[in-house]
Amino acid sequence: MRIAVAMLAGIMLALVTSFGIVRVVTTSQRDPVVKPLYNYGTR
Amino acid sequence: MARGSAVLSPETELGGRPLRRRHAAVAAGTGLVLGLLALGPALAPGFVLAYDMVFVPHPVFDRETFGLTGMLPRHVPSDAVVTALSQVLPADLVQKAILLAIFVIACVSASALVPSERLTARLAGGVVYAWNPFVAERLLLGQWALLLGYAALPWVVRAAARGDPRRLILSLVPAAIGGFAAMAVSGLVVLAIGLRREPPRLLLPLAGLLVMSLPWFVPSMELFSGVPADPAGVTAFAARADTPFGTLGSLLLLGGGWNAETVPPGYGAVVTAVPWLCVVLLALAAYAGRGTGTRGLGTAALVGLFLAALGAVAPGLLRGAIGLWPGFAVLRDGQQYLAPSALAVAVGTGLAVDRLGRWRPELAALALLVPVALLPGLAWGAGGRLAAVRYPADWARARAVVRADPGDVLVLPWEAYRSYPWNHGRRVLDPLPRFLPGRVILNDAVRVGTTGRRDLRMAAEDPRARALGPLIRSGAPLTGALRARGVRYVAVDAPESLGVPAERLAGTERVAAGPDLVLYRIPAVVPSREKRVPQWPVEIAWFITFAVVVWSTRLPVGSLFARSSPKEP
Repeated sequence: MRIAVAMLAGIMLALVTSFGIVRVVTTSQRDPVVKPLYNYGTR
Repeated sequence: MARGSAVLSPETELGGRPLRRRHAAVAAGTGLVLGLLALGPALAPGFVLAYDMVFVPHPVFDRETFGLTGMLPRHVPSDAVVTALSQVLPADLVQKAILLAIFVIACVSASALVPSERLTARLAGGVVYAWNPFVAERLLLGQWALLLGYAALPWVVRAAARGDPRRLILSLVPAAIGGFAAMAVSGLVVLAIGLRREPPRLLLPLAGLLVMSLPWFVPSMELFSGVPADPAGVTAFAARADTPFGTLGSLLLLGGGWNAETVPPGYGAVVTAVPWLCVVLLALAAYAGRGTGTRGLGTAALVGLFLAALGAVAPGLLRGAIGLWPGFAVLRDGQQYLAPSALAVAVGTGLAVDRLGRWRPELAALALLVPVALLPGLAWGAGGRLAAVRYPADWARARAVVRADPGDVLVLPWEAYRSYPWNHGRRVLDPLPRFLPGRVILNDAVRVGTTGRRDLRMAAEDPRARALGPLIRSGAPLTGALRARGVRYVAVDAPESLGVPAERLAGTERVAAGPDLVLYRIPAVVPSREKRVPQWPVEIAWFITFAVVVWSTRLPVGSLFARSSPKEP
């Protein structure tokens, strides 16, 4: 039970941390998927 | 005596006991949490449209669903399964359920393969398998069908090791739903394990793979010789470095996908890449002294790594092979064959955490967070790259028109992928062929951008796209030529191109128009005489596969959760 609780708490912590990191990353870069319009992707 | 064992040998597998329900439930819950964390905004109402991931509202069965239109059946039978499920649930819910199921199945199946009594060790394997660069890059590339097979790969490993044909068929169901790519990866694992058995057993595994591949294999046999396999794809889809460790190092770390746009935000920085390298090396080192039980999976992982690197280290060899036989084109996007390597790393991580748990249990629990901490860019729909959107109303109006007066549709601009404003500029394979009823002709020649050089363009595969391409690119009037070739409608679905020169479509009727799509109707169309794949062999193929799956379900599904023996053989 303790492991399960610790795991849940850890995952929630990771969730919050990840969300914060991603917000920082995404607000500090431009979306690379704007141009060109018709490519499958870019190497 | 060490806990855990070389569990993948058939001998120890036969001694396996059912995975504790509590362990399975915790693994499923963990997978669900990871799925919720990874998908985030993608779980809002609407459809997630990203690269190859195309779901549409109210899909219907048509000839394309079963690969009967003369194109390579890349979406068979995955589209058919989605269409069937969408008859009972809204299609956007079906999409979200499938995406979440990938994480749940991956976590449960991989944790069941970790030879340990410790829950933390099992979960560590499950978390690494569900949350790693391979999953992230393939998910962002929209390859949910491949990931469905990937998720169930640990079940396939167990079934192949045990040599039980029913269990093998049942474990292959997710890969079979995924279709060609998922079955190719599963086939690699099944054959590697069959070869490494004593004595080697290949006949039954091959038969199982063939039966589960019939829905796409039969229609592709009908037209394979006439479809070009463009060697240019070798350069376009070769693995590339997305970490400081070069292409091979990136592949070892389970990344290295060809598309720079699908690298999760922040991945590849030294601060996360070096610890992740340490995790992978520790996981591989954990196999030391485990005996021979894992050699089948190890062989599959090594062969997969070789195939993944082939396009990057020996492109000439691969081009030559494709020139000899177009079937070798399946190796162009080699990074997908890293799936067994990801499983080997996941199980190895479980083994390492098992040892750590004997020493410091609290550290073992913290180890569960490592994959998420080192790859935070996958979280929240990879920083919003995966998000749900609704199709524009213009699309629904066009569908109503075509449904009321059916006919073949040509899609312009003459490109395969789009970056619609209503999808916030995210790339996606044009959804019109699935959205509109009947035959929709799209230029399926994909284009890949490169830095500092011209775009790489692959040849079209659709015979009608190949036939119409020169006309459309010529700039000449279209109406008469399209009428003669059986095209009833022209749909223009990119706002920057809605103003097609009027003279090119002179004589057409504008039957639906809006800011997101314009539909033109061509009067007095001559019916097309398209070469079609015969239907009856495909019907027989589906019947055989379905019958064999029903036969396999005489085995309780719960037996898939049988865990590996924790004892040494």
